[in-house]
Order: sequence, then C-alpha cells, then structure tokens
Amino acid sequence: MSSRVAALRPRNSDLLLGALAVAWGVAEDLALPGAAAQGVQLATGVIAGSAVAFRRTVPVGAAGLVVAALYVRGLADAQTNEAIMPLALLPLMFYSVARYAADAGWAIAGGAVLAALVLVPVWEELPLRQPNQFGHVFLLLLIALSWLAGWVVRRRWLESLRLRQDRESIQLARTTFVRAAAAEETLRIASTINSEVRSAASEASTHTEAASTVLDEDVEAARTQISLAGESSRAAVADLRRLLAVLRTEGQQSTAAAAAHGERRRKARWPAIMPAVAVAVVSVAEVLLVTAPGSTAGRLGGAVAVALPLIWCARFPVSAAVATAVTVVARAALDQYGEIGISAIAASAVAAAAAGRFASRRGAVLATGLLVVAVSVASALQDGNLNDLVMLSVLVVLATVAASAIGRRSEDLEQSTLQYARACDERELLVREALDELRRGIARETHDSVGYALASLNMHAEAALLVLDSDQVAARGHIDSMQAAARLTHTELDRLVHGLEHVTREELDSGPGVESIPALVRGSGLSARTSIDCPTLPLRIASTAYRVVQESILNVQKHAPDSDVTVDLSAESGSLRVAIVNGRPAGPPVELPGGHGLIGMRERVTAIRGSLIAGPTDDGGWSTVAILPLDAETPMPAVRDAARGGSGGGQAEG
Amino acid sequence: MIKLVLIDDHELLRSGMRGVLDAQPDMRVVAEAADGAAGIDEVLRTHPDVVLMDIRMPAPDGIEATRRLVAAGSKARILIITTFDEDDNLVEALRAGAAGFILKDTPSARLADAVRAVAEGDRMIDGTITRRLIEQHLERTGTQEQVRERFADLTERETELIRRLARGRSNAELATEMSLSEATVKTHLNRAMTKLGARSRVQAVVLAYESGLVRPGELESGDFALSDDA
Repeated sequence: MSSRVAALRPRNSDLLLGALAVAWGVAEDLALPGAAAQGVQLATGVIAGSAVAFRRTVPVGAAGLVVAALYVRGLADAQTNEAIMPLALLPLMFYSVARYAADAGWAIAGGAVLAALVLVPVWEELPLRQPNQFGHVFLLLLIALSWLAGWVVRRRWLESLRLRQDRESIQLARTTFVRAAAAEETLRIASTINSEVRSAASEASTHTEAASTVLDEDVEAARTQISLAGESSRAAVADLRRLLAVLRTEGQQSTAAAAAHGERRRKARWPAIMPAVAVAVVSVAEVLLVTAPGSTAGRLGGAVAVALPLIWCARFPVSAAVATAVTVVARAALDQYGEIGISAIAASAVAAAAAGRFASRRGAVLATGLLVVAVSVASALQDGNLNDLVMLSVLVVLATVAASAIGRRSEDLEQSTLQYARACDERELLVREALDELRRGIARETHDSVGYALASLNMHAEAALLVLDSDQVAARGHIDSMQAAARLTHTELDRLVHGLEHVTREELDSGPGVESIPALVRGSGLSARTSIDCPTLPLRIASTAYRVVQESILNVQKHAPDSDVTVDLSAESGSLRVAIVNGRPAGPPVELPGGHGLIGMRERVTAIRGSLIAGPTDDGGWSTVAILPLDAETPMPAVRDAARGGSGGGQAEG
Repeated sequence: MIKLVLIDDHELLRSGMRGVLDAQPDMRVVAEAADGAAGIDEVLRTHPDVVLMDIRMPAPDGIEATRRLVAAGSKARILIITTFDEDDNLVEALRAGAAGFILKDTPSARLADAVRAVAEGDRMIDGTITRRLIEQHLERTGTQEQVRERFADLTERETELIRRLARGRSNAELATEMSLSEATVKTHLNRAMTKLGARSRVQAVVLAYESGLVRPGELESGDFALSDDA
C-alpha cells in the first residue's frame, strides 16, 4: 500500500508548478474582487492549482478536479469578474491527460469526457460563462491541440521505450537466438543429409549384398551388381558433395543479404517551408474573408509579412521568433480589426513551436518570452481583455513546451531506432558467423564419416571389378570390404544425423538462460539490482543459473517482498558464481525457506557438479550462492560445438 | 613401373585403393601408412614415383606432410586424395607442392590415369575443379605482392606460357598456339617453374593466380574442354 501512495507523490517541478497555480488563483481572487461568491472563487482556485501538481501521477483525476472547479464556479455563479485561472490551466491538463494517463484508453476516454464536460456547458453558456473574445472555437482548438501534443509525445515515448526494451532483449537473448537459429539449421541439414544420401547408400548396400550372394554361381551377375554398388556409392557421394556445396552458397547469400540490410535510411527532416506556407494561407484567407478597414493590398502585405519570417524558423528559430514578434505587434498597431487576428495567433504559435523544437533551451525561453510579450501587446492594442491576453500567452508557452517535448522524444526515438537496428545487425552477424561455422563443422564431420565410408565402398567395388576375372579370392575379399563399407556408411549416417538431431533437441529444450535473468528480476516487482558479468555459458549452466535466480527471487517475494535484493552473476576461476542476497525485510522477520525451492535448487546445482550455500546474513537478510563449474561434460564434442556455433566454443572446450 | 605409396588413415579406403592400383599393369604399391609421420618415413625409405596422400589425417596432416617431403628433397610427386573438392586445405596443399588432387570416389580408370599424369609430370588433372578452387580461394585472400615479384625473373615467353597453362592448355595446345615445338614448350615451362620455385604445374598455376597474372573469371569456358579429359 505504501508503495502505491509513494507512486502518487508529484515531482518537485510539478509541486512548484502547483504552488505557482495556487498563487495565481489567490492573486486573481485578490486582484479581481466583486464576484458574488468570493469564497467559492478562492477555494476553487486553490483546488485547481493544487491539482496541477498531480498532473503526471493522476492525470485524469487532476484534470477532472480542474474541470470540477470550473463547474463549481459556474454553478455558484462565482465568476462574474475576469478570473480565468482554472480555464487557463485546461491546455496543460489536457496535454497531461494524453501524455501521462495510465494507458491509451484512459488518455482517449479521459480526454474526450473532460472535453465534453468543458465544452458543452460553454457552448450552451450554462452553467459556465466565460467572457472570452475568441470564444468556444479557440478553446476547443487549444484543448484539442494540447491533447494532441501530449498524445504525440506519448506515442514517441512509448515507441522509443519499446524499441529500447526490444534492443535490450535482443542483446540479452542474442546467444539464445543464435543457438536457436543454429539448431534449426542443424535439423534442416541433418534431415537433408538423411533424405538425400540415405537412399543412394541403401542401394549401394543392396547391390553389395546381391554381389556377395551371386559371386560363386554367376560372375557376370556379380560384375553387374558390383558396378551398380559402385555407381550408387558414387551417386551418394555426389549427393553429399552437392548438398555441402549448396550449404556453402547459402552462406554466401546470407552474407550478401546482410550487407544489403546494412543500408541506413536517411534522417527525416522537417519540411521547413510548410509552416510558413500554412500561416500565409491562413493570413491571406483572413484578409479576404474578414472585413476590416484599410486597403486590401496593405493588409495582404501584412499577411505575407507575418508569415515570411517563418520560412527560416527551423534554421534560425530565435531570429524568426523575434521577427514574428515584431510583425505581430506592428500589424496590431497598424490594423484595427478589434481583435488580434487568427493569423497572428497562428504565426506566434508556430514561431514558439519552432523555438521549442530547434532552439537551445535559453533561446527557446527568450523567444517564448518575446512572443508572449508580443501577443499581449498586440492583444492590448486591439482592445483585448485580460482573458485574451492570458489565453494567448498560455497558447504560446504551450506551443514551445509541447514542441520541445515532441522534439526531445523524436530525437530519443531516432536514437532508439538506430540502436535497435544496430542490435539487429549485430545479431544477424552473429547468426551468420554461427551458421557458417556450423556448416563447416558439419561438412568436416560428414567428410570424415559418411564420405569416407562411401568412398571406401566405391574403391573396393572398383578393385573387385578389376580382379574379378583373374583372382576370385581377392574379389571376394573386396566384396567383403564393400559390405563392411556399406554397413559403416549406415552407421555413420545414423550417428551423424542422430547426433546432430540429439544435440539440437537438447539445445532447443534447455529453457531460458542467463540472458533472461534481468527480465525475470524486473518482472518480480522487487527492488533489485542485477549485475551479470560472465562470458557465454554452456547451456546447462546457463539454465541452471536461471533456475537458481528464479527460485531465490520467488523466496524473496514470499518472505521479504520489500527488502532490497542484489542478483550477481560473475565468472571467476573456472566457475560461475550466482549470488542472490536480500536485506532485512521491513515486515515480520524472515521465515527460513526450507521448502521445496531450496531442495530443488540444490538438486539442479549438484546435477552439474556445482555447490549451493544458502542461509541468513548478519544483517537479518538472506543469501543464496551457487557455484557452478564451467567445464560441464558434453557428448560428441565435434558436432556439439558445431551445433552450438562459434559463440559458445570457448567454454565448451574447457 | 610406377612405384606408389598410400598415406591415408582410413584402412578400408586404403585397402580398396591398393586393390585398384595394384590391379593396374604399370603400377605397384610399395608401401602404406596410416598417418603423416609414418608416411614420410615410408616415402623416404622407398623412393616412390607418386605418393597418394589424404589431406585430413593424424599428425602431421597431408599439407604438413607434403611440406616436409618437399623440404626433405623427395623427388616423389604428391597426389592429394580427398572426399570433397570444396576444401580450402586443397589450395594449401597445392601451394605446398602437391601435384594435384583427386576425389576418392573417382572411377578406377580415372584414378589410374591421374596417377600416370602425375608421374609423367606434364599434365594437370581435374583442371576445371582445380582452377575453380583456386579462384574461390583467391576471392577470399586476394593477390599477393611478393608472389608477383617472383614473376619478374621470367622472360616474356615464359610468362605467356604460364598464363596459358593457367588457362588449362596442354603441352600440345601450347605448342600450336605459340608456334613452338612441344619439346621447346617443355623446356621453357621447366625453366619458368624452376625460376618460380614451383615443383609442379599446378603449383605454378596457383602462383599465377596469386600474383594476379591470371584473374578469376577471365577465362572463357571453352578453355577447359581439353585438359579436363586429359
């Protein structure tokens, strides 16, 4: 329970923001007296301000509080003056709902419901009455844009997070992946060798048997059978040779494919001219649609002038913002619409966003400040009220903040994508190396076993044919050797294929290894520190290490769930040390875990000639340490190493 | 009579090969050995014309055994026997001074013919496979500068002969193409091989490739036709 409460604690920056909002509410209440229900205005201002502090931890609830404050004010008829505080908080709250809600559902549903709650009464002018010059469309736009900005940041953040996790798991599970790929390839090769070579080899032995049977009665029939046996054995060798040649080319192809994969996509760039064009279009449309005093040509010039600096907003964001600020104020001074104008607002927002996205932090603050001053002055020049001024400032600041957040997340995402791609490449390289090594290993193995047996069969068949007429005893000897060679072929074929399959099955069935430990620890919900410093491990050792950590974590969860845990794997002097130590539990004292977990763990550890030491520590915690020797015995080392691929060679030989 | 020594660790294969070779009227297997060390002793003791040498066998392997025989000054020509022609070791063996290689499942007539070709010393065996193998090997290793220097001492004619030899030409073809007598071709080739330090034609071909004198893929396929059936 305590941890859940702790999770609600706001960040310091949000506490500061909340304090500022509360101060704003109080100041507004003091500065703008005259409301019917002064106490309600003060109270709702304080509540809405405090809610800001929880915008990250309870975003929908905090936004709901702000909306509720608005409602209470409306219902109590407390807002007859120009107090705007809860309304001005809405963009930030909608941004936070989209950005920080527990999941996408909350972000969307919360955003939609709250928007409806805000907008419907505003639309109906009941029960909320906000004296706002730009009215409902502006508010709707502001809320929607804020939510959208939050949503974009959220998506990029999540995507980046996912990529980072993927990369991490790719890196951790690399060996497993490579082994699985090698295992799959081994099975494929084994079954191909079996199907391609077996039938030709069987033919050879059938003909050999036939030759042996008929030799004494019919030399000519024996001659035929012997040649057929020789032919079959040659065919089998040819199959084998073709098969291994195909494997070789496959290896080369995968290399080429990987090289093609290495091509990097170009960095996507913001189309820098687009915002300027958009603002120009809005400006011109405004000039043409809104009737106002002054010559159309002059107003069109102003419309273009306000958009012009934005052409450089990506490259020179601060200068563009300064120019925009100047043109906005100049236009407001020259034109008398009675309002600041949607084009000026759009230009300011775009300039602020560009500053947030492309300028340094200091430049962004400077540009935003300037733009806030500019829209305020422009609003004042055009007889805007205090509400307009505040809402415009909120818009400008929000544009900066949102663009900066989006920018940061985009860069982060780009980085994660790059790292992810790199991890994939690395893994591909490892797989390729392992498969090449595997193919070489199998080719060697095949060469020395099946290939030799088949060649012997052929050679004796040739010899038998040569001496068949002159020396029947010698021919008989060669036929006997052919029989031996045929038997040997089948034995070697069985040994090779079964050996490959056996090792592979064991490989595939061995369960999670060391690479899965961090995810296991993370998933336990314990406050744990994991450090893994060991080379690639033989499978049985890796999976035993995993089981030890798994059992120990389970024990900690049962007996001391709120203590700190350290999981430490390190290789030292020919063995792997797996240590799981937890501190004194916060709750009741540790019950000694003498249950099945410990016994099972000990069985596993001793099965690979390791040792396990478990017991309470001096400070009231618990420690489990397993020492696993790294030189586990392996059957059929040549094939085993081949099946495992290059990566595991180091320890397997030990 | 061609005197032969068989070196292979596989007894069953050795006995079969002995059966095939002893059955040839012009050949006699004078000794067998199951590993490199014993093989070297037998060769130095019996002075055979041709050694049939397995590549992969107990210490030392076929490559090392070839090197040692060459170093010991043995005049025996070494024919490598192998199951697979996709083996990097084969090029090593050729570079070490082997006269060629032949697959273990070759029909007896071709095996015997290869032995005769090696004994005579002026024909390359399995030309296509050999060149492909050298080319594949070269794609990985690249040409070598110090090998190129060895060709500096050769006359133009000798260089041209080696180049054509590497393209798979026989003595007769070389004689026709270069308008020389076969005897002159032999003399020039022998002199060139001595300058290159090559014990066999195939070794000279390996050197020609390694020096960049001949480049992989520059040969027309028609070039192979004759020498393969030789």
